[in-house]
Amino acid sequence: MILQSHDLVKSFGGVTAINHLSVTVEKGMVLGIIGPNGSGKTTFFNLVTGVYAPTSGHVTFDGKNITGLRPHRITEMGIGRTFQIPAPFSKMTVLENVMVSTFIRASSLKESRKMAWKILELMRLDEKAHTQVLNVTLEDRKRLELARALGTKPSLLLLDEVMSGLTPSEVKGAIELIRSLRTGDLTIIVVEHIMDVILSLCDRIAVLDYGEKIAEDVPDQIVNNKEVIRAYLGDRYSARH
Amino acid sequence: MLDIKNITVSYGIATALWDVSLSVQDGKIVSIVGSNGAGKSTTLKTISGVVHPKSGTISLNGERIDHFPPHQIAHMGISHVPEGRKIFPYLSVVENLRMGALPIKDPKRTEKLLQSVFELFPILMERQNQAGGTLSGGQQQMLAIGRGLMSDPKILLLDEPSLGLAPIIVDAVFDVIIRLNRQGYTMLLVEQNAYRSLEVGHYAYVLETGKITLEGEASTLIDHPHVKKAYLGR
Repeated sequence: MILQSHDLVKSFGGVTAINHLSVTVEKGMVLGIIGPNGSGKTTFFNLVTGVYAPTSGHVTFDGKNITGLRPHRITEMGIGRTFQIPAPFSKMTVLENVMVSTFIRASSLKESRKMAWKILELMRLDEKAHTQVLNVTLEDRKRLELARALGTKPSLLLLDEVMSGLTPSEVKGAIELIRSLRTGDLTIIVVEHIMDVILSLCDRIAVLDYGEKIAEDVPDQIVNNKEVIRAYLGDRYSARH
Repeated sequence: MLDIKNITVSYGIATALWDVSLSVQDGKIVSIVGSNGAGKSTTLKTISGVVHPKSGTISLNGERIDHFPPHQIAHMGISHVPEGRKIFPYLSVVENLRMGALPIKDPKRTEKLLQSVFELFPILMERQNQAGGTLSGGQQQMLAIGRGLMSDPKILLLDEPSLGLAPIIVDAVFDVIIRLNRQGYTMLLVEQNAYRSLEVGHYAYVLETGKITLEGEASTLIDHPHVKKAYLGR
């Protein structure tokens, strides 16, 4: 196993955003996390990446306790993430933005540039390399967000709604792209509302509601789970599929 | 009632809309389908006066509105519910709603509108004193639509109302759209969820790199081979 959260709790004042959450992620798998808006999905990512320290409980990554470590330390250890609202350096070029990430693994400008190019090719952004970020389309900005996360050479990648706002056809392309990352040992956790994405990428799915895990199973079981239909999918979703 | 003729819109040197014409009939839901960057949001912003066209005309019931400022267009009965909800996170729910009623000068009418929004969205009444930012994504979308209704509009411009919402909430948002339409609201709907927007729409336009490339009854476009391949992903 590469990541484990054990009895994790995070409260903000009187609100418990994460309530005794235990999740285990095996190396090389893709785990999906779904749940209503405000159910704690992003908070979970923020606890794993050190943006917040948990109220109680702990997180282990690759056998080490990482609870309470600073985000930059956790990034160095191999957890990369994207943000729901990307904040790229908009006046810098696409290439320069990725170089900011690759720098944590490179010892020279030249090396960081070379690493960034490789990622841009993988993300099919190489043609946009020298374009200022404020001039690229939303679809490309989403890919850049992914490229910036990959630039830190993660062994665990956390994707927070990287496809929201894309049209169904753009989503299809993005699914292929993420699938192509599934070589080697990369482990991925995907938070997404677009069920097509979750179902076509994930080996397992965990469902959060009010900060608690209400289900965890393989995709086929999750879409038929009564509790999940009640809290998240809705009757009509199951009728349509 | 809303007639857009040959508008061209530019941001600096970049042209976002080329010679776009579309019309929205009274009582209908008209959907605009298109990729990101095709000009969908620009179309809505041009109608509500946030940006102005370089050429072409926009008229509402025969009256030109294309060079009016946004607040005047709001007064005339066009309400823009922007992408990403854009509610005021530190104002309470009821304050957010009252912000939408600025064009209404009669306080009694404001109270009536507020009651009808509360009727439509009981959750907003329940949480009226809570800060807008503490609502869930779905509730914030309801608040954004509710605020849009507070100016007592005839036409609602809805920009990506289902964006980033759980499937069960997406269903609820589309239910509201259908309900409002039955109550007589005319709607121009922009959605990345092309399938659902064609499902609820009466008429639809396909916008590609700033140009209208296809239009027709929404129920026909949903089966159009190009629409299927490019926007429905099937």
